[in-house]
Amino acid sequence: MKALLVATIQFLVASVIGHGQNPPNAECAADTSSADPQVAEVAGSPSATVWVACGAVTRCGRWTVPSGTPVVVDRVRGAWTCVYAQARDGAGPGWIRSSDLRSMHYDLHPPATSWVGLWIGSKDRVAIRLANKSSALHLSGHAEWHGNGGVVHDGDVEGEATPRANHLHLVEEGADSCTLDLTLAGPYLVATDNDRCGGMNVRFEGIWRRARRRNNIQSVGLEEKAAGSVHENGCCS
Amino acid sequence: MTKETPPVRQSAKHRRKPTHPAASAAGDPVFAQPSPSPDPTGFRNPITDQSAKEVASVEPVPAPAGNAVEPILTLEQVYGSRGAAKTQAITASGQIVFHSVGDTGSVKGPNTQSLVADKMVADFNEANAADVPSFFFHLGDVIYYFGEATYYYDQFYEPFRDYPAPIIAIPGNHDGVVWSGDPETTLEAFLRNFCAPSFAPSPDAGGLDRTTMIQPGVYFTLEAPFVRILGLYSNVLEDPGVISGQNNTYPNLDQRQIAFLTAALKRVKTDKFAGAVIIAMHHPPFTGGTTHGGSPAMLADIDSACTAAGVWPHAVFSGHAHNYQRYTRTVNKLSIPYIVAGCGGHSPLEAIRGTYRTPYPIDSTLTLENYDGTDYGYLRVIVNATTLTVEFHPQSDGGTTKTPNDTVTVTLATHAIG
Repeated sequence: MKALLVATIQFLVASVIGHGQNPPNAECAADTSSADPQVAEVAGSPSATVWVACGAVTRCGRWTVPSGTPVVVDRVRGAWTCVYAQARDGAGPGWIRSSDLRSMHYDLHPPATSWVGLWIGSKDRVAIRLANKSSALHLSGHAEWHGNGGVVHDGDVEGEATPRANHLHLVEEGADSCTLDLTLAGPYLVATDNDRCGGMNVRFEGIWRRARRRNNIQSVGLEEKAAGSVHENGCCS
Repeated sequence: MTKETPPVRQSAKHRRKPTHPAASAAGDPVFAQPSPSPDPTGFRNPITDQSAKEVASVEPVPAPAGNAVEPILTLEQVYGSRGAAKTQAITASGQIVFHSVGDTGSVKGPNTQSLVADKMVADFNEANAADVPSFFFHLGDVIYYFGEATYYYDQFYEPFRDYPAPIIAIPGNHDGVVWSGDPETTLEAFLRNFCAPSFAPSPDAGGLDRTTMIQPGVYFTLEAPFVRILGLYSNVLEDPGVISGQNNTYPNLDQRQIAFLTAALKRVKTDKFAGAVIIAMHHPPFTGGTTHGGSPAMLADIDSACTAAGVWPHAVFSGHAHNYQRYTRTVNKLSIPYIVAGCGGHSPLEAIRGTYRTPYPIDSTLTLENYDGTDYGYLRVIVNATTLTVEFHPQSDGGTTKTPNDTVTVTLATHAIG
């Protein structure tokens, strides 16, 4: 009888865990570096919780992420999905309930003009315009990392590249140079780099949105004008 | 707001003229070569088989000299016949400066670790003698992937041949790992090079002049003016760090390191030692890197010793994760920096998962204050009668830049972080 009671309790505990009351105690390594990142949006109302997985299996608190926030989906485990998410205090991998996500469908072969614009994420941005060369795009980007004591480290990237499907691969000139990889996912631009694009912790990494203002986007140096005036319509300002 | 430009990434070596100790008496230590020479571009003895670099079980911990409960090494001993004068000069100057970092050993070539070592050597070019480092406390993984004699020249003696001060080390996991086909025993080479009975040329130094270190064991107290460093050996697992048997989880380990730590901390109290107390081990209690995890059971062991002694450290240093991370842990209303500095040159660096605006609160007791997943570098530590300051210097800043990328200062009397 006692054994039956213990077994029943164990079953109930396992059932609760199995139904996703707690995020998995498993590695979540989602980032934006996948060759073909899959973007979904948070569907929780009005927000959902992401359990931040900053270490191999370590969790580093929780983020409350508003509905409509884009995430990069990595893998599903039970009722949970490992995603790369962005919040006010950072961006990184974490577990979110799969029921708090909605999938997205977007053009995998967008025209070159779909890339054109000023794309921003937090303090990071890249301006894309049509290059003089046929089918090529000109990119000019700036990224920052804000550290303790108000210290800011930054980095810049500039060059031309031709998109393949919804991917763009930019390699700056020079040895050990910065490499930028962008994926156009509908209204979002997924960015990643090779960690050679700036100072301490500076990354061109994230899920960026197009800035509201699209006028004059082909003007050289717009990104500089936009730096102090553009308003992000996203989650993570 | 300070605006910093992206650091210049060095690709070429810049050899600087080091400072050398005077010619030493027979039996005295030697720390550096008499003249600088170009860095090599390759290893004399590269690792040809990198399999079996991770092991599944812990190894027994060698007994310290004399089976002492608290093995003690003094900085005066480390400097040989010059020791008394050295420690008197440090005391008279009002502060001690030293370096610390782990994971210097490289398996891909000497370039990255030499860049870090060269910047550390540049710290000896100071107008004020009080600002010159007195030693380098290595946080382990001196040698990869197998801590065997054959790799000591390429990964230790050559990269640090111009480093003109003592190098004291606790072993990391790779220092204790031996390739399965080799006859050496765990830590055999580490003991020969760092725990020798006297200063002597090392057979593993390839003819370079640096003499062996005279540590009393792989765990010990380093006593220096203004500071005591309590070094632990966290064994050979990739993760987690282990310093005790943990209630028979590791049957071949005993409680000696807990007894050592407790005794050392109690002696801080009985001696009324007013200087800085630093606990150091290779594996980090907390880490946010992509490869390595924290070591909560090891942290519980350390906490138990601190609780038993009624003494908590002013800082905890570790390596293992190949990056820089600084946490503040609040315990018993004390603020204690937990610093991970495993960015001493082992390539590749270990990225931090995600990007975090710091200070980033993890929970009510732990905050990630700062980190750097993009640079090799090292700690420069300054201790005086009232404060402990830890600076992080990235290698990419170059040898002439003296401004750290991160700094924390602890008031010794109150454990307050400023």
